[in-house]
Amino acid sequence: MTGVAGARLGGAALSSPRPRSAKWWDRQRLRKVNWVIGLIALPGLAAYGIAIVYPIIDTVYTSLFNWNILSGVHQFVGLGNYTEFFHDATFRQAAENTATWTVIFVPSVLALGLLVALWLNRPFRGRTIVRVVFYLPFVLSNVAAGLMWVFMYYPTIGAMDTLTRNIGLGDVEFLASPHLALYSVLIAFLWQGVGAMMIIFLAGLQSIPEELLEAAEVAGATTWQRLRLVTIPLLRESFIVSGSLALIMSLNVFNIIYVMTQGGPGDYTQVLGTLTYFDSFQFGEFGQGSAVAGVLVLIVLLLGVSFIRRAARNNYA
Amino acid sequence: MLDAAALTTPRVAVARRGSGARKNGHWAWKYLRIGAVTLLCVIWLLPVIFVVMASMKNSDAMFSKHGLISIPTSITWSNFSQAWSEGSMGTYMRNSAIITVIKVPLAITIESLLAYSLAYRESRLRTFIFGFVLVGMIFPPQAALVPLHSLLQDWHIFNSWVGLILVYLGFGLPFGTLLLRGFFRTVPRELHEAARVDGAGPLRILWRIVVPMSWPAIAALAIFDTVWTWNEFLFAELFITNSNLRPVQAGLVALNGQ
Repeated sequence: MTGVAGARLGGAALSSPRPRSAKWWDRQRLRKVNWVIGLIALPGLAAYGIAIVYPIIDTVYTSLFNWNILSGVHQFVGLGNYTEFFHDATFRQAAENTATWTVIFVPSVLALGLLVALWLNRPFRGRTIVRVVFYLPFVLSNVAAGLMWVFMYYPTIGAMDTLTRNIGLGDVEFLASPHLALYSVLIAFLWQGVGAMMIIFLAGLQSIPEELLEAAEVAGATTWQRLRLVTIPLLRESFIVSGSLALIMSLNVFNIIYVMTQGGPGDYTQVLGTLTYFDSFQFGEFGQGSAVAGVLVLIVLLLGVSFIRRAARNNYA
Repeated sequence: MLDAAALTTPRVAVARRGSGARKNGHWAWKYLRIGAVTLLCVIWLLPVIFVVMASMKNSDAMFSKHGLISIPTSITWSNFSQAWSEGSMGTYMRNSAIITVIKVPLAITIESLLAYSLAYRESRLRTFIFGFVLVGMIFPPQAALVPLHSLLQDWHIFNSWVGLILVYLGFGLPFGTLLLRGFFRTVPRELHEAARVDGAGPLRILWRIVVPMSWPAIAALAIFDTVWTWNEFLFAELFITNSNLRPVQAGLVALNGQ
């Protein structure tokens, strides 16, 4: 008992000016504590430094060279790789595709996720199972989901082709057509993303006090008015989190495109995230590939930095 | 069911007028709704269902008319055993299992240490380091491929699980640290100070007080991290070229190519 009381006293004293009872070794002990606190950060920071910090710096550095590991060219060109992008048709295609992909993906995945969450927030029997069903694609790996959709889009015998034939659209080349391939892959990506957004919105919906909605209903608000004037404004935080997540997911997309189309046909499904890979590891253009990566990192950081600030601030609360 | 629940609460009037009475009124509505919900679930899972059905067919049945979408007439289990042994899925899964079992506890350990180190007594340095680590959360992994490729080769850990796990640890760190740090900060300060006065060092406080009080967060992180590690593809594909060491997602792609 006295131990606890003493601890309380000591605890209060530590944050105020030095207590009278402090022995000379107290200061020394505190210094040792600080030292240990610094030391335990090191393993994590080391892994972070090796896997992320060093690569960022090295990518920027490498992007200043004309470096092809296949031909052995290694020559400093300054910002040459970046200025070349203005004339490079492949890069333009990839940048355009990234923009198209993001502009379609982010609003649609948010809208679908919100819709499913609103539905699954209403009580009905079997709701939990339905939630699991809609969350399931997100737990699948991009590779597994991509392969599943390759099956769906399989020429002639696939499900989608059978469907289009039966409704009179004939055979559609979902993954081989230059105009459709990007959207076909996007649908697979949406299918995976909706579950993640749903979970975030469900958590947000559950934090809305029911009294508010009831008050609105008693006051005569229609369902649509309740949604627009009560629910959606109160989901602000969920929108920020899910919107940032969707934005980052869509800018950094790689796996599903790699698995489903390898950037093809031609470069019609090439995005910045895949272009950097193919430039570097298929054509050996380490310099050019790094420059594409540099552009991607710049875009991600510019658009994502407010999210990071927000996450950091909320974590301090 | 719904009405019974509503009756026990004071909100009965509103609940009745709203979703309760009107739609559950007639029994036919109920079955219609169950049917509609089931149909929607089935449609949502169609890509999974078709693959599961295809996996039970032999190749003749699969490439016939409607082969990919028809319900299998006879179930062939040999595809699974074939993928397992000849397609080496068994090896790939074992590899991934070992990598996950090593990586997840290791990650949670270093993330806890870092999160604890950054959790209290904010100084500018700590705030800066925390923000700096968070940037990794949005960093595109593709942008790290060229440098990591060279680095792992220089350190002779290319084509080895050591290198792969090292990369995984770095990329998992930002999210894990964010989650754990937020949770660690909910542990009351008084507890720390009490323990400190009783003579516990920071590591003992972390291990005896903070970690036991943060079990929910650690469990959630462990689940998330396991799924993430198991599902990771890009690094596994690029940094492991020896097929005996290949993890499962890269193995899937390799198998699909055959």
